[in-house]
Amino acid sequence: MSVQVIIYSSDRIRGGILREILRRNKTETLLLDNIMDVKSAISSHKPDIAIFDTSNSLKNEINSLKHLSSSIEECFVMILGDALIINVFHDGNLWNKLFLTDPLDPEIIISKSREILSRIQENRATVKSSDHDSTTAPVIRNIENMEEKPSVADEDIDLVDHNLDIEHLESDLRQYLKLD
Amino acid sequence: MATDRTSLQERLEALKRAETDSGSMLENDKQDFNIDSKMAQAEKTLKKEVRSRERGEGESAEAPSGPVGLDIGTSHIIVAQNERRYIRTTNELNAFFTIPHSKFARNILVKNDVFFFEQDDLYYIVGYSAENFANMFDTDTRRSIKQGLLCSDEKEGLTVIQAIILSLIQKPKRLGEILCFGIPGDPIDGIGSVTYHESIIKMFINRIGFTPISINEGMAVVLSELAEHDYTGIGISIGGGMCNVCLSYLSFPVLTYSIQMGGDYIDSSAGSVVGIPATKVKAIKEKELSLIAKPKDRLTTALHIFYNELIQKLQKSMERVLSASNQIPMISKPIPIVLSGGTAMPEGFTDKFQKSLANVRLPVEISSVHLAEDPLNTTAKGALIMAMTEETPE
Ligand SMILES: Nc1ncnc2c1ncn2[C@@H]1O[C@H](COP(=O)(O)OP(=O)(O)OP(=O)(O)O)[C@@H](O)[C@H]1O
Ligand SMILES: [Mg+2]
Repeated sequence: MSVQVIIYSSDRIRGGILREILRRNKTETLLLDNIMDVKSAISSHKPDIAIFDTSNSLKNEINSLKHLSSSIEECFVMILGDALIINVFHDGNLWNKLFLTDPLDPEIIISKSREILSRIQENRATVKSSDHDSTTAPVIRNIENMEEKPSVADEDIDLVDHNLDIEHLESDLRQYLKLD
Repeated sequence: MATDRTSLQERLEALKRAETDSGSMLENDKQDFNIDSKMAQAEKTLKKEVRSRERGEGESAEAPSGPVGLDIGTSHIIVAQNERRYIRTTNELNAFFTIPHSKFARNILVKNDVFFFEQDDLYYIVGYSAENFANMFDTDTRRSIKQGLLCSDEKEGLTVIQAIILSLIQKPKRLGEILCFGIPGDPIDGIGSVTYHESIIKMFINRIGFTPISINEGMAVVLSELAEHDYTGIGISIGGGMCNVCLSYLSFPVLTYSIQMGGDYIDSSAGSVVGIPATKVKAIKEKELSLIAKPKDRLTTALHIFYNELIQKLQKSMERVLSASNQIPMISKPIPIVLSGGTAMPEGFTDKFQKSLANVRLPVEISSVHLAEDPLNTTAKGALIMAMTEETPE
């Protein structure tokens, strides 16, 4: 099975927990603790989600993560950590970002990952069947188009994404695929 | 760097499978195994009975032929090995007593198979023998480790520990065999360095011929006792010199720490109030203390008082450390606490601990408090399980 989620964490225990809960959810993951490897892993493995855990990261690592996350377009990015640090990531491309503040909440991470992965799956299937020239258009882009609004609340406090709820995504998808 | 090595959970699952296979091989000719009975067998093997015993006088060390678990405690040093049908532990008291050099003394020690060595014009009597001598001389034994940690300024402590370990195990049959030993969590208020303690012991174990790895003592309790709770819960070891606490989530030691207070503190405090040596208090405490029964004399009253103090200090530390931590993930279900270590053994201790929990506020909900199956051997067993999950280097 190909890698679905790439996890970056320089906190061995949190990284391990993230990997373990996803493994239990039958999701193939790759855990990395070096930012330089994350970039190349994203282009070589083409994961659906990249999880950046900022806990325990140094200031310059946070900066690199910030740059990296704003340039990523090919997958969803979940950014985890302290609310103050997460704030730093609040500019640039937000359509494919999800911000989850500490404490680490395994249940939310799992449910959000499931949601995103199943959306992407569905989307892949739809794009394939509706596209005559079947060179798969970047599936993630369709999700971008589904998402008119940024996937994060603008206020600092409500950082958990509520816009990813299924109905919303579904109606956007229908609209995009002109099924209505 | 990819940190993508298998998690402890995966290795524990693999161990369970391996144990199932060896279990079924033993029984293979008797009956066919379906998946369910294999799983049941695995459960049984991981729950193997622990058979423990004191090292016999004059008994020589053995050469282990598999992974080894080692608990170097303030009071006891315990070696655990995996046998086909049970886990075997051998222990020695981590204490010593010195007497001056003399031909006469030497003859007596040799004739009686007493465990001793010579250094700087002194005979160091070690282990259970030291306790017998201290009682005869109506005084106290000395400790090679104080409050759980080796001190850099006491070189005789290390020599004593080395002598005790070498009386329990020698060079393994296969060079580089894994040996996992327990280490304390960082003391929150005390002195001593876990890094120094761990490094010195690693060097020594390595020299015997093992590949040393370490495990936090509280985590060893979790590995040994909380398999049915998915290795999620709080493991606490209440020993001679310290209390070790570990909050584990899915086998990850999310939070570990220690306080430097344990059975030795109770013995010396009660002893000094009543005016008898701590070694004597210890013997009485181990033999007959009940925390359910009303105290019957001055000594038991003092023991009750210092037990209460220990429980309160431990629980208050849990309240403070857990509340201040941002490491603990959201845990939706209440989690269990498992108690181990000799100091948790008196009748009524678990109950007292549970009742007293009502006086503190923890950021996680507690589902139950229970005592480990074999409190004195829990750390050694957990360390053995850890050693068994590790791959032996080629
Ligand atoms: N039956 C018993 N009742 C009460 N106390 C006991 C009993 N058995 C042992 N103890 C006490 O438990 C302590 C030793 O426990 P244990 O062997 O778990 O500690 P340790 O691992 O050597 O020390 P530590 O973990 O603190 O470094 C001693 O204080 C001893 O007196
Ligand atoms: Mg101990």
